[in-house]
Amino acid sequence: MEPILFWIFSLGMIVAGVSVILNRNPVAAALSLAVTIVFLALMFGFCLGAWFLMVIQVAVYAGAVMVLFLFIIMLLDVKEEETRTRSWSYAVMGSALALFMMCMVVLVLRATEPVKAAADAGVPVDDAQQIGTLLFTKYLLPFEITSVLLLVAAIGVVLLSLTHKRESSS
Amino acid sequence: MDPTLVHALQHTLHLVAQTAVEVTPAADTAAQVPLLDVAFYAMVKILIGLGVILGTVSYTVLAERKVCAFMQDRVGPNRTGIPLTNIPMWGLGQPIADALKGLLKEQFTPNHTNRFFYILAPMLAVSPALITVCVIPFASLTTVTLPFEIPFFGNVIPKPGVIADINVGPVFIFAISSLTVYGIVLAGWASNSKFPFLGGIRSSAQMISYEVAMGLSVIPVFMVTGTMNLSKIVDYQYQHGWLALPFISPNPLDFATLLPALMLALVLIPAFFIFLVSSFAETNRMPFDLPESEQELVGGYNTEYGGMRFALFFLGEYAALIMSSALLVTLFFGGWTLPFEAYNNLAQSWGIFGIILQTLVFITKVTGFILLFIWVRWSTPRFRYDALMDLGWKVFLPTSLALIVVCGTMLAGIQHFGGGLKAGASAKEKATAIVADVSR
Repeated sequence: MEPILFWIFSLGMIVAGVSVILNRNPVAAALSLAVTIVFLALMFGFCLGAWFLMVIQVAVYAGAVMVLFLFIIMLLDVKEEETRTRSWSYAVMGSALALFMMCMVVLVLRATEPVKAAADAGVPVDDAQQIGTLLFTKYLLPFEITSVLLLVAAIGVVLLSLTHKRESSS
Repeated sequence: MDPTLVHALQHTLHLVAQTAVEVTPAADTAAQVPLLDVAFYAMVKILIGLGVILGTVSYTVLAERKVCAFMQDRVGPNRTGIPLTNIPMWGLGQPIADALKGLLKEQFTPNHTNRFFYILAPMLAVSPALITVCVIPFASLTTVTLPFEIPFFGNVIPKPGVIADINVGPVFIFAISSLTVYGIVLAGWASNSKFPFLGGIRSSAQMISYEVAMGLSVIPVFMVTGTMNLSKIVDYQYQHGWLALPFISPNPLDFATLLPALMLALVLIPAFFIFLVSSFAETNRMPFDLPESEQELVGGYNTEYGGMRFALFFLGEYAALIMSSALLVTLFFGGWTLPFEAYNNLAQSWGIFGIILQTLVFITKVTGFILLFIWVRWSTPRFRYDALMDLGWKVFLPTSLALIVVCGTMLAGIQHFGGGLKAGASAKEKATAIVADVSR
């Protein structure tokens, strides 16, 4: 059953991913990206047994981040994007970048223990607890640094919007 | 490393492995039931679940109109009774007539819309609420045997009280219901018209804001019960008293057991209120119904819709309301349990009839919350938009974060002074085992 599901989900991911690039309508592209994220989440859950990761992936990326993307796209004028012609230079640059990323992923995957094998080797099912324990022990420093990064972004937004207000009032 | 410590860690690991085997007897019995039977009964449960939800939705609409009429000193719908007769039956036939009307109306699509997304949006709005039904436990999980034979399939039902017993129940519900916003936003955008667009924009901002507070407010529940499995949360509440009302417990009320529960209730009751109010915002209901406020936006995101497509938005909204009520009951009001041992073991003694009785008790509790939602809708005025955002980000978010810290401190204190909360202790042991496993 697992291989069948894997192929269904990966096919769905690839189709949705291609439609992200090919769609001229930004809203449709954003929605395709959301579909890609949902398929990736399903793969985490059904092929890896990482249910907690699956629901977090859906809740954070599909449920919050992509909705904010849509929010911004809808507020901007999307008519212009639909008529813009495609340029070859972007396609070449994008393909090169994608190839580079793929090489990186392959290198990383070859260097580390496959997740599936680790999952089969009797790791507890309760992955929420595992993620929590790892975040608070082994990966505490990177975790805290990431949170500081997010805090910096939040403060930056407040600062930018405040200076904007001051300028417009004076 | 100190050899005695290593030995202790090994012992803990062994214990955890043993308890892991012991606490999943249901998995063993499920392994004995053939996969085909499991699939068959899952299908039956899904069909019954969908039927109950859709039926409840239509009668919730009727209840809303009746209660509203009662509160405003009117009569309400009282004419439609048994179909094809003139017997009025207090208007109980109204939902049937409404559904027929929705189905038979012309599916009109305005010309100025983005057709694909216009048709997709109502489907996206209705499905998340119906999907979340599958993780709510509505009765006991004890395997029951039917008193009669079923052709081609066995008559043993594994886990009769829930469709999918997964370990991340509440988070799954949050994840799926966070997708509801797509239906609303797309409806607003695809309609290509001012009022729906404003409704969609308001809705996306509102739902994201309150999702944060909602998700954080249930973390104390996970901390106290030590699990994210809804059935286990219900079991905990049966043994230690309901989380929002700790004195409702089958145990005799003595000071030593009640004190830690009452202390935790100081955290859990505010958490419950934050969760309740956030559910109002998540389901776009009064006092937070800005996405569809009739007076300023005509109808908000659904203005350009008619016929069954409009009815689907309604269906999704009321299904979300019912699921919120079910989640509130499950997390804070003991789920399907009552504080009597005989009732809780009904599945053993009465088999499938016990399961049905437990389901009816669950539905009764949920109905109480649905009536609360209706009552609030017809007695509160609408929030101003900035007040809504202030409440979500400046009041609920900090409060629920503070509640998590206070809850952790209390749990540590209770453990230290030997309050004997079993779930917390075992979680600590498990964490120790995982740390040992990782550092190995």
